[in-house]
Amino acid sequence: MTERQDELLNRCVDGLLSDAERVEFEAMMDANPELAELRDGFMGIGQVLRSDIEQELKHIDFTGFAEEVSARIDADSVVMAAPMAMEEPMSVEVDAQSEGFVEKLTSWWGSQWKPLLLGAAVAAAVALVVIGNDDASPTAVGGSSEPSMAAQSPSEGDSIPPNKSSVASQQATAPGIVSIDSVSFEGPKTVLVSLPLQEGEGTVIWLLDDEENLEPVEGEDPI
Amino acid sequence: MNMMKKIVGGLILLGLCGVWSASTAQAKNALKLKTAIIYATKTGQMDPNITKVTQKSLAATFGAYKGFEQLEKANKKIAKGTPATLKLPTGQTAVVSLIGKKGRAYQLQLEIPKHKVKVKLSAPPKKLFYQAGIPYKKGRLILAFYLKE
Repeated sequence: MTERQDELLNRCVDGLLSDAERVEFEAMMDANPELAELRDGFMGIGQVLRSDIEQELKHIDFTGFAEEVSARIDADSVVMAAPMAMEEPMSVEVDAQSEGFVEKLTSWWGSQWKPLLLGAAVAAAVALVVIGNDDASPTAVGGSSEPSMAAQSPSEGDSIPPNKSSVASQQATAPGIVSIDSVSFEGPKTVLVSLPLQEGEGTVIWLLDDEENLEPVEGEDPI
Repeated sequence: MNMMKKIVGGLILLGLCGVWSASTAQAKNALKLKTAIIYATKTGQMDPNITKVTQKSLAATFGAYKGFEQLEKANKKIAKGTPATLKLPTGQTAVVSLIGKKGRAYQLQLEIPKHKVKVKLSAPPKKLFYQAGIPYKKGRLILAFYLKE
């Protein structure tokens, strides 16, 4: 049932439908026979209740009831007049407003706390997963903190397992510098890691696999 | 009807939280990788196109070289599963991949497939580091890297 159907059904049962609403509601009932059954059911219950109340009221004498109520209201207003006059109107208004807000807040929280807590719990869980993923990284190989140069020159076809090479075991893990965790390569070559010894220098991963090019450049004496 | 609204509201909130978390995580994982390809020679001069900071660092780190010419400079983005690739003037390729993070440092893998070399390293952000040694003309290539969050 849509919200509109619900609203019109309630207004129909209460006898508050306007002409336009009545036409609209009848069209809805034509399209949805279940709605018509629901309306008939509610109307039947209402009729039973009204007839029952009317039966009860037949036995009650209301003579002088209105006068008695008026007299009681007059007496109460005389008693209330004195304390009301002593209070400042402004303070009364402020009290009434703050009480209303607190009541509204309490009422809203009372009806909404479950989905809000559920949402907050899920958000916290997602955040934990995200943070957890950031830290889920392979363990770095630790070693000496002494800045050093390390070289490997395996024979052809050799391969150094990443976390077992001497290069890895000699790397600095000092904070703030780029350090090498592991080196793996194949073939006849030299991998040399130079770590910074002083400010301004940077970590260098040297790859030297062409011995011919280690010769001095043209015109330069070797020693 | 009210219960239905609450459930739908809760699901929308859940979806928004998911989207927010995913976008935050993605933004968090994406890093800037500034790269430069420099041709180093034992003769020659410092290229004025190279930033002052890098000039100082090159001079301090590669004391044996006098000439540094910047051949290429690039700003790349790197994330898990999205490596950055550098095409070298020698026709080779250098690939930098993000593996993860440990403490302040990011764990990277530098690979030069033609040389079958893989180096795993831990690099804190805002620290210059280099790969050097590939022969080029009469000198060597220096690949400079600078990671930024």
